Amino acid sequence: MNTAADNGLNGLAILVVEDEIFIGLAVEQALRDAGAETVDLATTLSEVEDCLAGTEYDAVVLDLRLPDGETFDLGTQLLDKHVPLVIHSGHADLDHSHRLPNAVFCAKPSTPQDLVHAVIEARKIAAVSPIFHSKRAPF
Amino acid sequence: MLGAKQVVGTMGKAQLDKSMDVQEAEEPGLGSQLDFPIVGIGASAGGLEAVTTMFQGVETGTGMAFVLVMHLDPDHESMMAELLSSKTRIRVRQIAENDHVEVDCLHVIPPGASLRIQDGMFRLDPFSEPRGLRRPIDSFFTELAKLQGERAAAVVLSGTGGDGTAGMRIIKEFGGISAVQSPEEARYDGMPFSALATKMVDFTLPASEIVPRIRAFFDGAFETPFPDDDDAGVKAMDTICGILKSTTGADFTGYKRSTLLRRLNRRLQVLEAASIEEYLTLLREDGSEQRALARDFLINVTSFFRDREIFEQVRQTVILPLLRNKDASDEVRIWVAGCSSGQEAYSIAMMIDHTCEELKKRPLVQIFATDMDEAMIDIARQASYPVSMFHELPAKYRDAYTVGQDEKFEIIAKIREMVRFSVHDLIQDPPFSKVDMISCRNLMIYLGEELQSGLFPLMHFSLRPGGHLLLGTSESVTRGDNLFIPQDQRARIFRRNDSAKRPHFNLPLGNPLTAKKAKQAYPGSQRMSQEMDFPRHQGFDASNAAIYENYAPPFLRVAQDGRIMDSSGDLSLFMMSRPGEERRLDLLARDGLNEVIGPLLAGATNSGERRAMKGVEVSSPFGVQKTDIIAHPMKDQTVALVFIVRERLQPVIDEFELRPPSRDEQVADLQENLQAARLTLKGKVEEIETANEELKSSNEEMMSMNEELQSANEELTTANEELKNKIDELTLANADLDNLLQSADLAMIVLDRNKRIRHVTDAARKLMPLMRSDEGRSLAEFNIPIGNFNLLDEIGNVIESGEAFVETTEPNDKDQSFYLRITPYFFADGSVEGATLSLIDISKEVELRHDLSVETEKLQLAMKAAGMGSWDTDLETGRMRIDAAAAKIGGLDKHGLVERDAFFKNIEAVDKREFVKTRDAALKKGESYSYTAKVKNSGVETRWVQVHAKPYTGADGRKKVIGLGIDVSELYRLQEGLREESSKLRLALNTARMGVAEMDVETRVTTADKALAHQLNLPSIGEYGPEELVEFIVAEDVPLIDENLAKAVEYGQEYEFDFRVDVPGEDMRYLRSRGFIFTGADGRPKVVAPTVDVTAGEQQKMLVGEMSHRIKNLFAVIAGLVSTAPKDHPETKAMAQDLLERIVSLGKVYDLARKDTTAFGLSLRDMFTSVIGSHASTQALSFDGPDVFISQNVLNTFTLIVHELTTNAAKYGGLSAADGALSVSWKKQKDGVTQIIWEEMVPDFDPPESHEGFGSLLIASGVRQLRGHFDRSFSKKGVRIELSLALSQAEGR
Repeated sequence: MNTAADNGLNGLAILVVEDEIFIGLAVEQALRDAGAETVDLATTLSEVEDCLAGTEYDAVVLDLRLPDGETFDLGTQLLDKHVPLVIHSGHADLDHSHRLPNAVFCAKPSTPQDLVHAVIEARKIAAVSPIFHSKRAPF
Repeated sequence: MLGAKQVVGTMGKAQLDKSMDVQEAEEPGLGSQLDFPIVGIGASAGGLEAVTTMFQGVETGTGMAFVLVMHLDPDHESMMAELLSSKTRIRVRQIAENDHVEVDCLHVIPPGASLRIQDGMFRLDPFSEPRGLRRPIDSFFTELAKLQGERAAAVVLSGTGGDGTAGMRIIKEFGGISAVQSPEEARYDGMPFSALATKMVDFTLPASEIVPRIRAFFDGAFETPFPDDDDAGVKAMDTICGILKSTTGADFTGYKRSTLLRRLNRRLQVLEAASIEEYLTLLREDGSEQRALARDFLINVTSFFRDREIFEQVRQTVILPLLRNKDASDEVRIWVAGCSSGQEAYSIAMMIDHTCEELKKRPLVQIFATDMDEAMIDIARQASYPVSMFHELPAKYRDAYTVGQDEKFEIIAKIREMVRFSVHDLIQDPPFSKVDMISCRNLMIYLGEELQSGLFPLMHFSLRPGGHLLLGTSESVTRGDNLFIPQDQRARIFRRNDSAKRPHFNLPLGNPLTAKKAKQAYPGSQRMSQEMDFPRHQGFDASNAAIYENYAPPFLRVAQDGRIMDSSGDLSLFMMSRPGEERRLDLLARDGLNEVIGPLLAGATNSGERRAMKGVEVSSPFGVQKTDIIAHPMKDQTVALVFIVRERLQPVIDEFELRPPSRDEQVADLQENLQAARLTLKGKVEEIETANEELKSSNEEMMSMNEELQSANEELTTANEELKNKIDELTLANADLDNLLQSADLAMIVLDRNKRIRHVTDAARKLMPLMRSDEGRSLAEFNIPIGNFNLLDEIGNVIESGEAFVETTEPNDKDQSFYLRITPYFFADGSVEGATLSLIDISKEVELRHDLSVETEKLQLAMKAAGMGSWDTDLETGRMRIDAAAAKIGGLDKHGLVERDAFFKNIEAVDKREFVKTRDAALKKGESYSYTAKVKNSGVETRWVQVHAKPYTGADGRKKVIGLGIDVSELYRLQEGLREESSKLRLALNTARMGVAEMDVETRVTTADKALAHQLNLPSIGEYGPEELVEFIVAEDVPLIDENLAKAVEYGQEYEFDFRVDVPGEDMRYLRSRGFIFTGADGRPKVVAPTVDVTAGEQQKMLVGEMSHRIKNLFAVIAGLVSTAPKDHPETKAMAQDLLERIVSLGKVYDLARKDTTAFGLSLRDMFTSVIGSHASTQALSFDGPDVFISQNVLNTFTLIVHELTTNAAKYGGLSAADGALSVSWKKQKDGVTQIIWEEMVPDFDPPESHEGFGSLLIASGVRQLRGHFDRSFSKKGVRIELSLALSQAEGR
């Protein structure tokens, strides 16, 4: 285990949205190892809604594709609320970056360090970035 | 006509010479030469205004001619006629020689000429008098009087001096009428007052009323109420004479009846009397009318040598003896009293001069000629008389004493110098003294008895002892008066009675109180009133004297100077009697009286009251007589001394002895001395009187000069007035001219003869470097920027030759060109007095012309370059003029004029029917048209000609068509080629199912072709706005379009991107668009984008992507399983960690290898960057080597090898310390083998003990699998690894 990750997320509440349960568990483990106090795991969009209704999260780790739909809109909503967002996806490449500009992309597969770094990074961005909406060009 | 006996027109001098003896004493002619009245108008200073007023309301139809005579400056053109013509309805014209006298016309005298009328035409003569002495008004009035008689009128208007007065008098004398502007109205009242002073003015009216009044007079001129019947006429005249005699004292009974009748008639007309009775009533009651008529009657009929035989008598009796006794140093003094217009005085002067010649003696002769009528004196001073009077002179005097002029003759200077004229009132002014002869003819008859008797002592006083008095034929000295002794009773020559006791006289004569009053009341020359004095007695008559002598106390009448005037009674007790004629009271008074008498007389005279003295004792040889003396002042300034005896005479014989003899002697001595002093004083007084006399004469001369000056002044005033008006008109004309020049915006420079600038117009100042202040400077001082010729020389030529010069100048350095005209500047007399430069700025025209020639040149060049031919068709003749190029196009040998058919024989329109239709329609509307024609020439390949033609109307008015032909064969072929290429392209596009979008960058409108429309599910080919275009494009891809278009538009980059079209009910379409910006044929920037349907490839790609995703997910699941597996032992935990990391590395590399950019495989550099990069933090990394692409079949193995090396470096080597470094370099070897040098720099490196773990095994087995070579060495600095592996496919295979 990398001790550098310890305490990186001390006391935080983080929501992990991942339909693949093994991956989700690994991510939860990695975040808890990094000091996260609460890590909730949601595997569908409806579970996400339940979780968001009950808790205010310090960061969200989001897979792009869930069995009941894609999560771009969810990501946009979260960013609009200044929730630090990490996209954890096998699709996570630059093609999608323009749609969620203030999210940090962490490609699958990733090491726990990669993931923790991504969460810390996302929190930094959310703290300093102004509200930024994806807008259509005037064309 | 009453009293008209003969007609005297304008007779020549010769005629008068012949007829003069017979004609003598006849009345002036009364007939008129022209049968309409002529009104002579005299005006001077202020005349313009007066004449204007006079004629303002005058309408035509007056039936009269008007002649205006003014004092005009002879050196200046007169504007008078022009000035007046605008002010009146009747014609106004300046008189020119031989102009006819016309009715209803105001003829105006020209300057510098004397005017007369002859044969109904005006004649202009040069003035004979020097300036200042000219009296043009008098002169014309005199002419007019003689010419027109009763049909003449004299009008005197504003002016100074007295011109016109004498002339008016002559007009009156000849039966005409006179009118004068009211002095109150006249600007200058000198002339009106002068005329009024004659008392011969019929009408005194405001100027505006004069013409109507004169007109009324002439309209009724010849119908008067005077009885035609002879008896009644004589009776009426007698009545009138009776009235006049009783009221004015003037007796006209002896006057010629004809004259009186004529003058009376005039008076009646002037008064517009209805009947003679009415007039008689007026005459009886109105004193002023009596005087007016008397004056009319009195109009002097003086003449030269009047009563010629009397002159001879005078010469014999008076002059000859007088002159014989005189030496050259002596003085002869003659006084002509009442000289009128001077004829009498000049007659006497001539006679005396003639006699002097005879006697060969030349004493100083002075003739004082006086008259109370200033106007007459003026005429007399001129000494110029109409020739009509010439006959009055005796033949022997005519040539000797006159200088003849055309219509006048003049008394020569010698005679004129003998005569001194002055205005003098016999009754009021002090008389001349020491005069040898007084001529006072025909004057006394007009005076009352009292005045007459007063005159004789005055004349007695004036005359020297032995002097003579000459009276008129009907006059005589007062009877019973012994002052004058008749010398020749028939000739009325009287000699002064030197021993006569001359009665005292006081001036003015007549009743002093009345006279004084009269003088105060009429400060002017109102003298006629004195004629009104009632005659009264003066002095004593014989019977009264006898009574006084015998019964009254003795008395004396003493004049103020102490002379005894009269006495009565026995005065021997009071007065001494002395021999001689001594009459002085102080010398005659006896002792006792002598002492008191002076104070007494003085007291009475000064107080005007009676004084008395009682008990005065007067000593006489008879004794002492006591007496009372009363001094009683009389009205005539004398004092009566009355002696009233109180007591008896006391004889003084007793006292005789007692009286001291010395006292008498003393008194006698004193008295003698006193007498001597008195005599001296008397002499002095006389001397002073003489000096006074001379001063008076000098004064008269001064007055004459003053008169001349006044005339000159008057002329100047008139000239000034005219000039003022002229200036006004000039100012107006100048303003007009200025406005004209301004409005015409004419650039003009006026130069004088010396090329000095006289005037520059505003427009010229804008064009030229000239200012208003430059006027007066020479043009040579300025650089006038016009042309390249010598401007000054040309101006000189124009001034010399008088011919205009015209030139269009070359453009100057400011590109200004001018149309320059230099015209000679003519004065009124036709002389060239300078030049006028007019400049018209034609810079624009010149520029246009220049541009036009350039354009023509260009056009010709263009036509030549384009092989363009032109022609000009005359639609009427059907002939056309073609140029060489056109000839060539038409396949003709020659150019020039050809028949239309000939030209068109080789040309055939592509579509002949269409062409004819188009052409005819165009020609009908006058529009231009075009068509393409095919030219087939034998032996030459077929050519295509494009023809443009336009109808127009030629300068000659004919309908024409101008045509241009261009050989478009090349273009035609090019078009054909292009069309072919285009078809091919279209075919290719269709084959590739490639759509083309063409977007206008500015309007954002996109043109879609058929294929694109299909691809985007658009309804048809055509133009679409941005919204319509993207209707079916997946919303999230739309920004991509915008982004890429922006890239193309802003940076000119080519772009390529894929997007999706989602048509409901159909499968998702994947389209790839590749675009770039270009400038369209219309010059607008456009983006053109060929678009292909890549749905097939995309579906495959998606499949691959999905596979890849699942593989990665698989990696992730495996990694998750590993990381979440229970790890009881630390060893197991580390192993799981290692495993996890290896899996993740493989996953990452897999991801990299899947990307599109890795068509040739994953680059070695990218692989190192990915794997090493994720473990490095602050360490220095370097990768150096050529492009090497890792084959897919070795990728997993190689990735694991690199991962192990990296993990080691992170644990112990270059990446373990913060200041470590890792550098990897590689180079290609043959057969796809790559040699890699891996070097790690570690500070204070402690080489690890060699241990063969799973990692080492993995590396070794990997290298073996890849048939490579691995070598690792440690040093103090760090680790060095050499690795040779067959990473790529062998090249060249």
